[in-house]
Amino acid sequence: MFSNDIPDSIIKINNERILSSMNLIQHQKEESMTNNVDEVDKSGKDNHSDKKKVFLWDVYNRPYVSITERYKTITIDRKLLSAGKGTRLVNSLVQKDLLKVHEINLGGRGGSAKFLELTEKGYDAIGMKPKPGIGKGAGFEHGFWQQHLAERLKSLSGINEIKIEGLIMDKSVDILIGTEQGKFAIEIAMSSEHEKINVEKDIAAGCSRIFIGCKDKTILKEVTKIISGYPEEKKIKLTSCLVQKIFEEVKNCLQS
Amino acid sequence: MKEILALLNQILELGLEKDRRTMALLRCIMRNPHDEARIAMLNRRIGPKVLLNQMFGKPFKQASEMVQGLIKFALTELGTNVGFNYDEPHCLIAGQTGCGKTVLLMIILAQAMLQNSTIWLFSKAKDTRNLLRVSREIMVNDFSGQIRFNPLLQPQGVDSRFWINCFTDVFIQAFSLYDGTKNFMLENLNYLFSRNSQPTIHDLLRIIKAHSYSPMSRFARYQESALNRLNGIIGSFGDTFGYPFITLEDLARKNVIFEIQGLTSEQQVFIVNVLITWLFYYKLYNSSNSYHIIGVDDANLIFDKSFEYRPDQGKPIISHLMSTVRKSMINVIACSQIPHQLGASIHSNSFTKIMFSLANANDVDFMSKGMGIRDQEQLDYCHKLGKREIVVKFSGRYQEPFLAYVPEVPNVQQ
Repeated sequence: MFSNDIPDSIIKINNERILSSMNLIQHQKEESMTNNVDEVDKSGKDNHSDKKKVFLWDVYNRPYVSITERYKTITIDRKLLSAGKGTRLVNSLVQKDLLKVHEINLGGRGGSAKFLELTEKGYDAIGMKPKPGIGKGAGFEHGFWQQHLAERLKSLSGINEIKIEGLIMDKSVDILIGTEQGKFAIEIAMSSEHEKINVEKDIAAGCSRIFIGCKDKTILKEVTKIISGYPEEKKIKLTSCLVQKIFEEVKNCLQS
Repeated sequence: MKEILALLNQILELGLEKDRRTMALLRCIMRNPHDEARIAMLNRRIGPKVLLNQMFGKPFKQASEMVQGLIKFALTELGTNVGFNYDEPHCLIAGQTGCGKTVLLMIILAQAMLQNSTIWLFSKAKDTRNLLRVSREIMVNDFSGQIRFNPLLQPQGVDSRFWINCFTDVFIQAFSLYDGTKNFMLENLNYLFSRNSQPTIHDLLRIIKAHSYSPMSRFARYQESALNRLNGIIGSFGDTFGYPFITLEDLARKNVIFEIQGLTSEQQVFIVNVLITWLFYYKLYNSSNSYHIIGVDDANLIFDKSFEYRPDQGKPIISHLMSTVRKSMINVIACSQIPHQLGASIHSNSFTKIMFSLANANDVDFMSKGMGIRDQEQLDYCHKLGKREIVVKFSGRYQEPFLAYVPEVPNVQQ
């Protein structure tokens, strides 16, 4: 073997010689490289604090947590957020068009709960793109019910599969439940516009039961009217109710 | 007829096919198989050699001239050059430390360089830089920051999203991370590429650092894992991945020695894998008429069995690539001290297998099995190979394992 290795100094000179004949790529101007709320502020002439940034990130990471729950669980500067400070923070973010507030009636005694959604400006402020399925298509409330119901249904026995946007014979359903009695589909109706076609497709795809959870009483009335027009053998498979009651309906169905 | 064939076999085994007298006698016997006098003459001529060979000879057959190739690396006992050709990828060299693997690797790479091929060598020792004595057209990258490049950028012609996936796979495998962190990295890389067409690893670190998660959340753990590894990379590689950098396309046209001894073992795995994967895809997607010879001083860095047996991650990309790059003009010359710990991809895809003396019986058994050595005498001999003595096996052309010698390299100072 060679006993004397070539020293670093010669290597360096030789590298330099070869490098001199090569093109170097210089630093490109970045298009909002850092995930910084402050970057948006430059245009908005407003200076957001770190607290706001942390809060926006929390909304991004946990989109379906109610405001009250969020205050209880978010830590900013190693402290929990008090309801008063939290409300002020949310109000200022809503004013700056970084957040949107959604009020959703969860049913029962609790009444409505408030949820937060990042606006386009809000996503920009943290430098992220909107998450698929959130605030797109059917909207925030639709997404919320999908998540909320899927989580609750996990507690029921007799279910071996729960899939949001699950596929049955190439037909996508809002929530697909696999049970011993067959495949159940849950459709969340924010309007009655497409429900007729949707339900027919679900039946054709082979769903054993179809639960249609309606956003409010008006939509429920319209959906019930649509269902009443179906022949008896199809009607047996269909259940329509308010979305808040879907869980109980599925539970009863599984127990019967 | 059988007797004549037996004589011919003996002549070939003794390597006497070049001996004019012997061959003349054999031709006469073939014309007149009952010529007892000539048969006796031939037996007298080859008899002592057969006897000597039986008593003191090596249990391997003398290799024919078919073992010659464009890149020569050894000589048979009879002085025939042994070599492989460019269209016969890849080569596995196994041997214990100090047996001459690196010398052999350098002999191969030096010839490849002189034959206008491009070489990339991943080395754990500084002595490979002596290749500069053969040609000064070699860069030595010791990751001090003098030579900067950007492995985050996809090879020309490859979709950036596809490369992001490959990069993340290599990163996760090298640093033993799990699916959660992989998806977290993917999300961040995709975002990074949507904002900047030429982001660097520094940018990736910055973007991941900028997230703020609740300490109890899963995301906080993914962030911590990713940051931990990225900080380690930035710490060890210094400015290597910073601006201004040369494109890997430019680097692929140069002979480069990557000296990886200063990196941690995980970082070595990462850089070797990411660069080789990059080059494979570059060559796959861009037609070229020049060969790339990749030398790897320690094959276990890329082909270790443990990488192929992580069910959560599937097979490493490099394993798939080894079997698909035959036409992309890349030859990998991989050296290993512990061949029995190598995965199947290199064993199954190497045209040339070379075994030096090995200290571990497992390694000898593994290599001899892979070389198709079944004869007990040959197997025993594999355990007592001498200095610079090698057993060579080609997968085509000449398929018998045979003995050869690596030429001695003079000490430069002497």
